Amino acid sequence: MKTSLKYFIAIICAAVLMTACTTRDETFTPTKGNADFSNYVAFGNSLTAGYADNALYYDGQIVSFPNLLAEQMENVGGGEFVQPLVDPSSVGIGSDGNARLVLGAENGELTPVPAADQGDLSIFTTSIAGEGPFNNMGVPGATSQTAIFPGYGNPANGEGNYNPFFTRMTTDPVDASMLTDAVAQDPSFFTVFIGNNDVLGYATAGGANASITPVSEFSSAYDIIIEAFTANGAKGAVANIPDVTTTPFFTYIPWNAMELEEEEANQLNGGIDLMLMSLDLSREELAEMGIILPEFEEGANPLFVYDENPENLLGVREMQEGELVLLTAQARLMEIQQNFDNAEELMQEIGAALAQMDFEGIKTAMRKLALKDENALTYDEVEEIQEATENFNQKIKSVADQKDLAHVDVNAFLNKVKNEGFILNGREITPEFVTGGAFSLDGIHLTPVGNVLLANEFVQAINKTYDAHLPKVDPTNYGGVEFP
Amino acid sequence: MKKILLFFLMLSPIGVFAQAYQLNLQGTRQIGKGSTGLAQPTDATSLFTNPGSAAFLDKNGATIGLTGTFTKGTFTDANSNVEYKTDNPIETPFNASAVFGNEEGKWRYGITVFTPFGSSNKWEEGSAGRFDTKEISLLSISVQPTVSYKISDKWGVGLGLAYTYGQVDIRRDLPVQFGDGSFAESQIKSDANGFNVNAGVYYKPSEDIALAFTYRSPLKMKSTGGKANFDVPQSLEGNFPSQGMKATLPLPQIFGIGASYKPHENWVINADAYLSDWNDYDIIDIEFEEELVAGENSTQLIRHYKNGYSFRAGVEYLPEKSYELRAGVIVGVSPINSRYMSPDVPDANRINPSVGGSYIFSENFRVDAALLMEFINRESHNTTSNIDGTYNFDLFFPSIGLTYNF
Repeated sequence: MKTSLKYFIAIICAAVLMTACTTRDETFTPTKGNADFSNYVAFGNSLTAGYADNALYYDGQIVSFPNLLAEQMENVGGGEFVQPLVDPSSVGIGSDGNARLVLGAENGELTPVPAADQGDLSIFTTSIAGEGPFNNMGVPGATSQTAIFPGYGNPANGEGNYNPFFTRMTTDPVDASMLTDAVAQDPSFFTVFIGNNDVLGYATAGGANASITPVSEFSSAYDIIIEAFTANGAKGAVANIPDVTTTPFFTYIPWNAMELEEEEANQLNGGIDLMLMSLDLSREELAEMGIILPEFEEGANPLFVYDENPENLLGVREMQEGELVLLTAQARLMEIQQNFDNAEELMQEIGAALAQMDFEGIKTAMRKLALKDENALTYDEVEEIQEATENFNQKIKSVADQKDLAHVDVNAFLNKVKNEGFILNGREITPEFVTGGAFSLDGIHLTPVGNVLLANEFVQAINKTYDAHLPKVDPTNYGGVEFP
Repeated sequence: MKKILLFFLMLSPIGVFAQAYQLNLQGTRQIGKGSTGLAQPTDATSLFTNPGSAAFLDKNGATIGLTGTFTKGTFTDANSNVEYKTDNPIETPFNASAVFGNEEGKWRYGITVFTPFGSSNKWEEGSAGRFDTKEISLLSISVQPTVSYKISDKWGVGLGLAYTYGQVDIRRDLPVQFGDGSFAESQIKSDANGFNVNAGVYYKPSEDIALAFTYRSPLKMKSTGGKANFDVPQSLEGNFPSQGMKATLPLPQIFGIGASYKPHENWVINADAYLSDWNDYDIIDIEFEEELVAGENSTQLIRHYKNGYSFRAGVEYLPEKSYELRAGVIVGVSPINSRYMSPDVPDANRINPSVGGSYIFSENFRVDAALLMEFINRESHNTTSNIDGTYNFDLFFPSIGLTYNF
């Protein structure tokens, strides 16, 4: 019996050991593949800089996608990643000298409001070049053209011909370009994410007072940039640019955002009829003269927009499906709303102008109800922008192929956010403005968790191209928009 | 009645998940031999294990048992390589049983109190599953009056009616942030109760062999006085009104078959098998009673559990001296598909060893001790939440039981 007891105990011990062995460490070993992340430099615009909520501010910079990416690279020999940080307590500064946006309550409704009357101008006036060189060479507003422009930080060039975001961080405001400052660091790895502003500058201006970079100029600038980065044999990732319609900035306000109750529509139509009756005119007669008066209906009505076509004597036209209203048009929409509220007065004005066939008067009155050119993108403008985006993206892809660089399809990524969204560890990320979680309060730049998703697109492309295994950024503790 | 229950609750608040929520901690002596014993009446805990076998107990008596639960769990995110830990307190499930009646007669009766299901799992702050489940506490206690009838020297049947009272508390973070960056939180908290039956048949064709069949009917735990509480930024309070809620947790019906065999006068071998039908634990609707929450009148736990199987074997060494030794193993097949694994109840197919021993002070008083170990290692990709990674849990259940024969 003693022996059988011994066997008994031996079998139990073996069983315990066997089952205990099934518990093991599940973490994987990150590898760098055939890339060298020891000196990573990120090159780009506001999206690289960590600009968010319409300003450059500390919390946004900390979650810039290159900073998140650099943290992952640290697992496989990545070095320190220095960013041109602003003070953590600062309200930041945007391109218009504005402070960052926060979600506030206005008339009981949640709406983005500036955190302060104006931005922190000391950010522009204080050079922090001594804290550099900076691995994050993202400069808000940079285009393919300005990125290679020597003296991009030189205030002596005059307003509009230099970039104060670059002035604060460059080694030499007079002679240096973003590219020379970046390449002087002899990066072993780089990301280039530029081109958005080559179309976006045009797009955010509503197609007014700005132009799209011609594709030939974009291409030659892009070649110069990539040649400079790869001259020392460095590897890197290039990112393409998203379609303009993927961001809430262009989609939050629909083209037919004028919602009318049945009664409101009847009142407006009735007012027009009354006015015409008093003038003894009919809609048909006016139409023959080239004055097509609007008819309103219950539900969604198209917004009006300025029309410069001289044959349109009304001076405004209805927007069409496919045309886009900019998020920044909100202030104008509120003016229009007020003018609608005073419709009676406006009818009188139009009636008086019609009575005298004062076409300028009619135009002036009607335009009180219309978006300005800079508030909207017309169908032609949208097409022009999309064509440029496609051309730029083709160029970016061909450079990536030619140089064996990782290619990050940001366009596909944002289309996925737009069309299906992401479910991240039980949390849904959708493109909706404010509540969706991906876009910050300016409707273009990303939230912290949006930047995590973007950084992970880079991780995926880098891992694939360079046979590396960088861990993805854990999204769990990164947020979206903060609510009051 | 409720006061008594609460007293027990304080003593035995929670068990830890085992084969989903189902616990196997109803008798220390059984635990020591792989939680077997369907076909081997040993003490008053047989009222739970197999009511049909209690009529074959040699002596009336009372048994109480206390089990400690020590758990250490981690989740490793497959994408980020980040590991999160559980922060679980030590729990002490409790059982108490007593059998009365004429030891020579056909009828025996008794009462048993036990924790049939339980789960207590608290993840560290900001863990990967925070938007699914960051903390769950499911506690239950059953009281089961039981009768057992000896039809003949070979056949016994028994029936118990169990009343179960439970409390559930589930917390998760909501993907909405306060101004300071912290996330909003929701909590579902409710009492619940339900009835089910526990029936068993015991058949002993010879001195060396016994067979058993048991059935525990489904237990529908209906909530009473449930609350859904939301802690959200002030500007969103209108979208997340705290209010009453109701839900039903459909716990499984369980079939068991078992055999015991005595190859030698000092040795007993047990082999049991269980089928737990979790199919009703599919989509759990939590209905909000008053107002819509973020536009919805209910929220759902998508679980899609299936059948769980458990095969158990145990061996006892009974030298007829002052000590006894036993050991066993449980092989479990999880009812949870990898696509629906959640941070509330990580589970896996597993092999759980146990060991136990007894010290016999006198004919009427004995102390049993046992240790059950569980090792859970499960890779999962939840297709609803996209939580993708590996759960690793080590669980240790030391148990002590006292039996006094009247």
